[in-house]
Amino acid sequence: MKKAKVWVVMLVLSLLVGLVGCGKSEGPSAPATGGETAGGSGSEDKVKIAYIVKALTDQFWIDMQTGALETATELGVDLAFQAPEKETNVETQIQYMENAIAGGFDAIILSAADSKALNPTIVKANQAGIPVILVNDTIDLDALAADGGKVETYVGIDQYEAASLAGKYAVETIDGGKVAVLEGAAGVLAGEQRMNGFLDQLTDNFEVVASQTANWDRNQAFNVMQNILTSQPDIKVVWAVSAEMGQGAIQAIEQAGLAGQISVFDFDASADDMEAIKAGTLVGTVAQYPNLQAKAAIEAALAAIEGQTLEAHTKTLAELITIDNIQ
Amino acid sequence: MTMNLKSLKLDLSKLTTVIVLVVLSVLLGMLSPVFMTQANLINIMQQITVNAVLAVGMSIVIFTGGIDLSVGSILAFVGIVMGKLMVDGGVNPVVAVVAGVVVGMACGAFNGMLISKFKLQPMIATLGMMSMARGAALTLANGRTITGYSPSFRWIGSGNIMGTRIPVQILFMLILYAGFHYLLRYRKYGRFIYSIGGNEEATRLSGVNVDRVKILAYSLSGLTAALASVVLVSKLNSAQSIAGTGYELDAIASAVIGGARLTGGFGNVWGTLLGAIIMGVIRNGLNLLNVSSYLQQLIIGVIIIAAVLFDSLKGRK
Repeated sequence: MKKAKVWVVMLVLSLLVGLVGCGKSEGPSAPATGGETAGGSGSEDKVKIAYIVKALTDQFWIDMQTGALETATELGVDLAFQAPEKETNVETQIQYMENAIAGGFDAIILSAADSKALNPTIVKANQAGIPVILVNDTIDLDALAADGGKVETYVGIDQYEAASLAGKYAVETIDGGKVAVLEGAAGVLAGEQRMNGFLDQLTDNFEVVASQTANWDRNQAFNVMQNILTSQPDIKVVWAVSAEMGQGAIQAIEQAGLAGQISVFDFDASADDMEAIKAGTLVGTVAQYPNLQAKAAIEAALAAIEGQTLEAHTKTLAELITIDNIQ
Repeated sequence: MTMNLKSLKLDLSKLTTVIVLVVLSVLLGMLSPVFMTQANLINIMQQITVNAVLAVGMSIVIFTGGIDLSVGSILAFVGIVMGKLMVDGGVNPVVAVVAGVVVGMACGAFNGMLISKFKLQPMIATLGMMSMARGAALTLANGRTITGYSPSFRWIGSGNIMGTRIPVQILFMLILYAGFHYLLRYRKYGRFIYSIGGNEEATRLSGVNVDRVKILAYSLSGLTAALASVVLVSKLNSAQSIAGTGYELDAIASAVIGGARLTGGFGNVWGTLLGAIIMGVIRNGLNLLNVSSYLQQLIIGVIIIAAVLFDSLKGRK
């Protein structure tokens, strides 16, 4: 038993040493799941902002982090950028919030992982006189008001309006035909707004014949698209509400030998999407520029610190990227 | 109802999973004209390969009375390792796959060590690995998707066997199942796996090195996670650090629908394959019929419970 304990201690120690070693060799650009700061030394006169997001698990959040750190350096803000390991890790976000309140930050920028769970800590921040700005993900503001809390503004795109850009383009450039939709996970507001934003633009010559979830997953999107094409081989338009699902759909279409006959649209403008547009397998993708969101959020935080009143929704840019405007 | 089930038990005691599959298929065949077509049946088999490959390793672990929650994360980690080697490093695909398999088996062996030598509960140990492997994948990939593989590598997940319409991945899956069947049926390690699940202490007392068998079982689960990763990365031409999220639950469900008991000592790999096919048939059918996604989750849950209930009622005296 004693031997086992020694083994455990040695194992844990060697693991930790290994991890620390790895972390060091990667330098400051490593995707820290803990925190990362910009703006140099935390001198007393600098504005201190805590920037709490949902995760750093994909390009979207990494782009947002890059934009945030750049803006912070530019504006001379002391920024603490923090992210839990998973998008669903609400408890960790609450801890980050509480640490920011206790640590005397001047403002908190938050991309909430849950539409209600962070309300108590937002109220706490209000009581401490720290302005809270939402970015990318909005929350249930009525519930927050009922709890006696408020946020200064929500910085982000209008999902519905952004998706409508793709829908309008489809109506302008395609004669009509059968439409298939790849939905996000059931019950996620942004996914439903994107779906409706596209579908509401469609004219009578379009007919939605299939609308199925692929849970934001590329592999599931491949399978679902394959099944849809089996029952409806004459699909003309596909609307996938995320880039991952769009990529899965493109692959299923290629494998079915239908490449070039179906116009695929998706959301997020990932690096893969850009390649696909150049290759002609994807017609359009909606870009929502996370770096611009980060910049607008930090600017909103500075305005709020100065005591300005902000609009409830600070809209940021969303654009449809097609072969005509791709860079 | 109970009477019917009892009489079924007499001659069809091992065929309940087959009955569930046949009933489902006939039903879907009546509802959708394309369900029974050759192209659709090939599609279903192609759609289940990743889950089926994960599920066969999972079954081995479940037969010992354990569970492995880390397979989805190991799948992602191995994918990133292989992607980094092949795309960034320009390494030969064979070497990259071997490296991926070694990483997967090492993760599994680590699980097995924690469970056998340090007496951690399987759920706790593999929960830890689930987080560690996912974290390692994220760190290594830096959130990036790694795309652009050579045609020879892509052949595994998207090619057909020469001169036929049968995807390579289906053959790969069947060979893997045959190999595991052989291991369980004809090698002494296979018999030890069941006897540990049946009664671990008695197996230990009869002189079997239980720890070694358990480490082997979890290593095999790591192996199949790595092989599932090979199929997935090759099929989608991309490795992502968030791939495979939640796949462990589908693998467990397949084994359980196929007749495995979570208490161990019971089940066989062909049952697991049938379980994976049943899950694939349900998903395919619901897509063909364009059933709403809200309703789909409900229906899948009901069918999982019904299939397992059918199996356990049959076994009741």
